[in-house]
This record gives sequence, C-alpha cells and structure tokens, in this order.
Amino acid sequence: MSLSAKSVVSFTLNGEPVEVMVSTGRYLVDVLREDLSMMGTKRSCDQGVCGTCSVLLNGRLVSSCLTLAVRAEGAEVTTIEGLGSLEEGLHPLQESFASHGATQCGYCTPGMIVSAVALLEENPDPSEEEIKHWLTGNLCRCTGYQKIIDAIRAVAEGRTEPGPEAEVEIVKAYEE
Amino acid sequence: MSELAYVGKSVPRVDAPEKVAGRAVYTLDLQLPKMLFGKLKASEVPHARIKNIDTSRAEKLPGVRLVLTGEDMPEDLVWGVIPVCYDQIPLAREKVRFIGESVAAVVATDEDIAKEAINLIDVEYEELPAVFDVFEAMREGAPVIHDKYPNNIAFTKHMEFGEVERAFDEAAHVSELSTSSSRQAHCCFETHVSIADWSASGDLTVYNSSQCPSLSHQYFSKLLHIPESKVRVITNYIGGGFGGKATSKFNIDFLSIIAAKKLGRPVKFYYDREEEFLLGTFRTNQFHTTRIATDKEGILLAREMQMTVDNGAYSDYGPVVGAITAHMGGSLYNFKAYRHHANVVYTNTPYGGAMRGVGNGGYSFGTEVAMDHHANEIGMDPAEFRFKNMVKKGDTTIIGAKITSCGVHECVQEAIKRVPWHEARPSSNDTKRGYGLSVAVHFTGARAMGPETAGAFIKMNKDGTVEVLSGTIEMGNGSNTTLSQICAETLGVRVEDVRIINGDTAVNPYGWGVRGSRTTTIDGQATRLAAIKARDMLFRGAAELLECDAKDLEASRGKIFVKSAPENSVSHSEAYMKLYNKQGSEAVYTTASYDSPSEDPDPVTGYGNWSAAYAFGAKVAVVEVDTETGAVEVKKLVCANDVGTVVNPAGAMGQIEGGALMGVGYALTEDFQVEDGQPVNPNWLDYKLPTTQDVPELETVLIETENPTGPFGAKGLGEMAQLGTSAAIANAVFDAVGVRITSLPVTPEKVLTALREKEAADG
Repeated sequence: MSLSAKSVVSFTLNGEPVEVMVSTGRYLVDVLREDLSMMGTKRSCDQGVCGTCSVLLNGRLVSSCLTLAVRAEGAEVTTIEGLGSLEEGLHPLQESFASHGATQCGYCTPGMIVSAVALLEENPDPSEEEIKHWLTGNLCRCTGYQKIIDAIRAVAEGRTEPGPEAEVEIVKAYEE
Repeated sequence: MSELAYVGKSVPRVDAPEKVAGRAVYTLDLQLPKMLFGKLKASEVPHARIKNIDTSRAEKLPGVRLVLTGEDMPEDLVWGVIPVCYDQIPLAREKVRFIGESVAAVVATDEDIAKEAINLIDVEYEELPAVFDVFEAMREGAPVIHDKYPNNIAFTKHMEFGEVERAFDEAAHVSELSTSSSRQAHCCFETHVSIADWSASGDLTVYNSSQCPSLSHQYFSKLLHIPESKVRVITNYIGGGFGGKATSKFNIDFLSIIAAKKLGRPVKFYYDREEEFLLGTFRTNQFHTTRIATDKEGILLAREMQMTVDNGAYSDYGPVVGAITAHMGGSLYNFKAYRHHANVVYTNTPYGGAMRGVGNGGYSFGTEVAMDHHANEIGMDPAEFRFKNMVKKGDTTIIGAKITSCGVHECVQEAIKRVPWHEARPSSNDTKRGYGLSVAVHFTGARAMGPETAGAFIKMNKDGTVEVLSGTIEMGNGSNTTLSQICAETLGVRVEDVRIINGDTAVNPYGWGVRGSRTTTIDGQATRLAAIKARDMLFRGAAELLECDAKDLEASRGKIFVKSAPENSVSHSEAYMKLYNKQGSEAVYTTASYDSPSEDPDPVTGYGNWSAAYAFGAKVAVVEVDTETGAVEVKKLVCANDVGTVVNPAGAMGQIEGGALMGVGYALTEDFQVEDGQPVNPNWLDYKLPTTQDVPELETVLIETENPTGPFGAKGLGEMAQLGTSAAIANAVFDAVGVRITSLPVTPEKVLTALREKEAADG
C-alpha cells in the first residue's frame, strides 16, 4: 500500500467514537491536531525524543509523532483532554501540576501529564528516582523538572497541594 | 503601608489551569479558514553564487499556489538588530552564505505538497571558498562573506577606562586565560511560527510567536511600508522564548505576509525542528582572553578582555553581544583600569542571536573561570577574592554603573554556607569531589538599544473586576501572574479579580515585551502607575460615599476603607458606580507609560549608568569527577539570587530551577556543532538537552534587597537564573581534580585529556 493511499480509521477518542479518513503515512499526532482539532497534544521534536506528543493507546504510553494513525484502528486513544477538564473537574495530576508550578510555558505539559498518568497506573507509589527514570523520555526546557517530580510525588501521596519542599528560603539583605 | 496582600506571596500561576487542561492556545495550534502552508528550500552549500533557480517543476505540482525566490522580495527589505548592522534578508539573493539559508519558498494547499515541491526546485550554485573559523576569517586574504565588510568584522566595540598598561606594569600579579563557549540552542518547544492574513480592505493581521508583539508590529509596518494602523500582531501563549523570539522578526514573518498578500488567503509558515536550529538563532559561540592584575593584597587593579564573537553569516544579536558585555564586565567588580575589546566576526555558519542573558552566558563563563584561576594563582580562597573586589551598594563603577542596591556579597555568603566550603574535599580512588563558585550580574531595565518603554492600560469594570492591558506576553516566565499581583496590590482589589490582556497590538499599549529581565521591573512599574491613577479615581467616589477625605482612604483585598476605621468600607464596584451614575460621569480607564530610568551610555566612551538596576547572583556547584572516564556529575547546585523584593517566591524558584538546569546543559552537554559549515546535530537526538536524570539537588535562596527603581523594590530575574552555572561547574572540576577546562561544554573527553596531560606534567 502506498503512503498516500487513504483509508478510514475508526477509534475511540477520549470515550467518543471517531471516524476519520487518513493516508497510510499520516501520523496520529497530525490526525489528532489537524483533522480532529484536538490541539492539547503538541508536537515538538518529531523524533520520539521529547515526549511532548505522548498519548495513551489502549492505556499504553506512545509518542503520537511516531505512531501511524492507522494503528489506532479499533483502539482507545486518550489525550490530555480526556483526563479531566476545567468544566467537569481536572485529573489530580492536572491539579497538582497547576498548584506546584510544574508548568511554565506549558508546551510539554500535556505530554508530561499523560506520561505521569501511565506511570502511576503502573506504579502507584513511585520514588523520586523511579519518577526521574520514567520521565527520561519527557523533556522540559522551562522548569528544571523538580516541580514536575514534586507534583507527581504529591499525587502518589494522595494530595495535590505542595508540601514543605515548596517553601522558598528568603534572606533579607537590606543595607543600612 | 500596611502588610502587603499579594506581593511576596506564592500566588498560583494564573495560566496554569488552561495549560494543564490542554486548553492553552499557541500560535502553532491556529488554523484559519482557507489557510495555505509555506515551506522553505535550504541552501546545501556554505558559500556560493546562485547561478540559477529553476522553480518550473515545483510550480507545476498540483496544489502549489506560489513559489518565491530572493528576486521576488522587495530590495529594501533588510533587517537585523542594530540598524548599522542590518543585513538579513528573507530569501538569499545572488549569494548563499551558510548551509540552511533559505533560497526559495513554496506555498501550497497542504504541508505535504509544499514539502514535495521544495524538492522539485533546482538551484545551480557556483561554489566559493568559505571560512568557518573567526580567527581565520580575520586573516588577510580570507574569503569575504559580505562585500561591505572586507575584513569580515561586522562590528567592533572598544571600552577603556583608567591607565590599563600602567596597572598591569605595577601589579603584584598578572594572570591570563583564554576561554571559549559553545553554541547553545534555545530549544523552545514551540518553534517559530507566523501566520499572515490580509482583509479585503487591506488590513494585515499577523499571528506570530513573538516575545515582543509591539516590535513585530513596528517593524512589519516600517520595513514593508504599511501604516501601523493597518497592521495588527496577535501573539497567543508562546511555547518558550529564552531570547530566541526577542527580535520579533524572522524571515517566515515576511514570507507569510508577502505570500498572503499575493494570494488573498491566510498563509502559515513555521520552522521545523531542524530549521529552528539553522534559522531560529542560538547563543553565540565566543572566544575570550582575559588578563587580570591585582596588587599584593589581592585587590583588582585592572582587567582586560579581548573578545571575539562568532557572528555567523548574518548579524542578529552578535553585535549586541560584543557591545553589551563591555558594560556587564564593568558592573560586577571594582577596577582601577578596564579594557574591553570585542570583534564580532562573520563566518559561513548559521547566525547566532540572543539567549537568556545575551552574550553574558559565554562572557560570564570566561570571566568567572579567569577570576577563579587568578585567585588560585595568588593562593587566595575564591570566595575571599570575590568579597574583596565585588561592587557594593553606593558604588559607581569604572564604567559609570550606579549600584543603588546590591546583594551580591550576601549571595556569596549564603551560597558557600550551604556546602562544606572550607572543609577537605572527600574523594575515593576514582571519584573526586569539588566545589566551585561563580558570581554574575545582569541588567534589569537597560538602555541597551535606546528607550525601553512599557505601557499599561487599566480598565475597571463596573463589578469591581479589572483588566490590565499590557505590552507583554506570557512565554512561561510567569509575568501574567506577577503583573496581576502588582495590580491587585496597588489597586487594592482581589488578585483573582485581575485579568491580564496581552498579545494584541490593536488593543495593547506599546511595550518592549518579555526580554532583558525587564518585565517585572519596567512593565511592573507601568502597571503600578496606571493602577495608582485608577485607585485615586475610585478613592474620589469612595470618599463621597464614606463622607471622608480621599487621602484618608486605603484599599486592599477588594475593599476601600477609612485607614483609621477599616470597618467603614465600600467595594470598588460601589466606588466606581458613584463616579459613573451622574452627569459628567467618568469611566475608570487609566494609562501609564514607563521608561527604564537608566542613562544612554556616552556614545564615544560608553560611560554611563546603563541599567536602571543590576541583578546579582552567586552559584556554588558540587561536582564529582570520575578520574577513570572524565565524566562530571553535578551533585548539588546552590543558587543565591538578589531579586530585590520578591514578588512571587514560588515563581522565582521556578525560574531559578529551570535556569540552573539550562546552565547544567550549557556546562556539560549542549553544543550545537557546525563542522566545515555543516550543522552536525540540529535535532534533539544528537543535541543533548538535560533530562530528569541530570537534575542535581537544587537549593534556592532568594536574597532580598530594595531596588529603588522597581515596583515594590523588585528586580528582574529570568536571565540571572541561568548565568554563572557553567563557570561554577568548571571551577568545581578544577577544585576536584586540578585541571582547568577552558572551553564549553565540559565533556568527559576534555577532562580526561587534561587529566592525562597533568599526570604527564606532574611526572
């Protein structure tokens, strides 16, 4: 089959059935963003390095920039929009990322949260080291990762608000 | 003033909910009806005359709407950063000067067709000798890259004060060290993007990922000869900037505008990840030779720096790097004599730009490694050497910088306190531990390129909520939150009742955007001044209602009350309605404009107080060096920053942690390499960004001083967050194993080679 041959792909996107005509060579990230207007999933490195385009395919974490859209046939696809919403309530990880300042420019955030959901599904109580290991495939240029790690640990501990680690030390140096 | 309600509190980021929900809109997400897509054809040779461009095959491809080459561009469309150095053009004309330079553009109905058409364009080149090394480029007989610059020197900056040679002659000790820094790419997650749309009546709207929409607006108007009233620039959230989107004018902006005009349909261009490296600029690579002279007490007498900046093939921020570091260098230490000489040199490589601390990243690495080297040579503790020589509050430095607030001594004290600085370094057979210190200064509100104004409009709503129209954008730096806090504090409303409206030049005031660690200070002041005017208006309405004098009133957390009797209060809404519901009513809509209260340096000597305030910081790195492999692991990083009055502690900590890790990347792995003109690693597989595995223990200390020029005493921070990290790490490597790594990044190979050389020398 040539890469430009088209076929209909049917799958469940965030609980809703969708049907879309795609060419064989088209990647899932482009179908989500351009054909289905699900802009929460971002594209950044285009090489499966940065994790920005992370989505869940039948509950498994994949880079949608390396996943052909035809592979979604009959599958359940979950994106950031499917985890929780401002209208119906955010997912605890979304809450925790917000309250921890674990998002700055926000571009890596959807992929990072989707990846964290997959982590907690597999290991509900990961140590800091386990979180770091899991997130090696999710890059962030803004935060330095610590607040992201703290946000995930908080959810593992059953809370979404920052703990004492978020306290900032301030020393006054007022000259006379 | 009573206790502050919001300034100094870790108010949660106002942009966080929509970002975590996946609902934040970035320019790359925008799709307009009937939008067409553009792609760029890149030069495959570093230096050549263009003999012919055959676009006929591309034009015939179904779906292709337009093919453009340099010949189709207006001849006077030339830009850059410093006007005397303007040389950038949208598409190469006559010559190409680096691999990756855009030679043609295609606009088509979809991206795949545009990409296919790019491959159908045939360019015939006559290759020319090329030069890739700055020092070779300055030699006589080197290939000339721009005819206007026969010696390939795009810009020279010389600044000199005091008797430099005499100081070196009379010094007790003189040291000299040559250092170099690498190209660090911004690696914004959202690449540069521009969408242009012309209305039937000839109004242009550009949606782009600019750090300064006002500058985009101004330059599109000026360079394309369109009245400012006919141009509107809209910027949504941007997915990281770090200075890479600060010039606010890239070739894709002009191409989308020109193509959309010809086609009568919206056109979108964006850089793919590789183009982002080749065309989106990066931190310039620099070479520094630093000479330092001290007297017998270790007091600095003189410093001389000979600096060479690799400009790449065109001038972007390269000339600014050469110029601005001359001022940086004279604002951190006291000297009796000072010389800075910078050449900014063209090479046939992609061109660099500004990145988080324009020029200061490489510069402060060079200086702080040289300072550490000097302290070691005179047998003085590096911290002690700094304490003896760093500026203090009240100083006017040799270049004319007026230090009106300064916490740099406290930064060093607090940083070294957090490691066993004075104790013996633990080591095993094959790992050695070391501690390294660096200090840094950066401007916050500088007249780097003329007036740096910010505007703010405050629009009060009848229900007591407020909109702040601001010339900023939110690129992740958190300014929408800090500006909300500054407005709420000043106007006395609740912070949740403030909304920042920005990124639309049709409604927002002119402003210099988010850059140069200026947003909190300069835009913050504009916001505060407009809020004071709005508050004073509301106080008149409240005074009538409360039957008191307006000067007896105060406002906080959504209430306007009598200072001596706080139970006598009205809401902002009630005060507003009192003004509004009568003949000759007044709408509460106030404006303010604020310019950085700094001086234009003397055009000849460079003397002057070039920044409104100076932000300082110190970093201490703890590293472990594996002497078998040369690998350096950063175990801990202490970041102490003089932030003036902290507006949002959690936000400041977030900036510092992110900046520090960006500094770790600069120190150890990040190196955009260009070999013989060929970019080697313009992608994220081969260009190594720090991951979660690279996060050291991060300790943040905020040092509060009072900046008399900042709102509530605040200073800028964004760029200081990164500065100094690489030098602290390199100095820690020296402390651990006694080898001085003088070029970035500090790779295992360099460390191992230096260790072997040292072993051989030690016998």
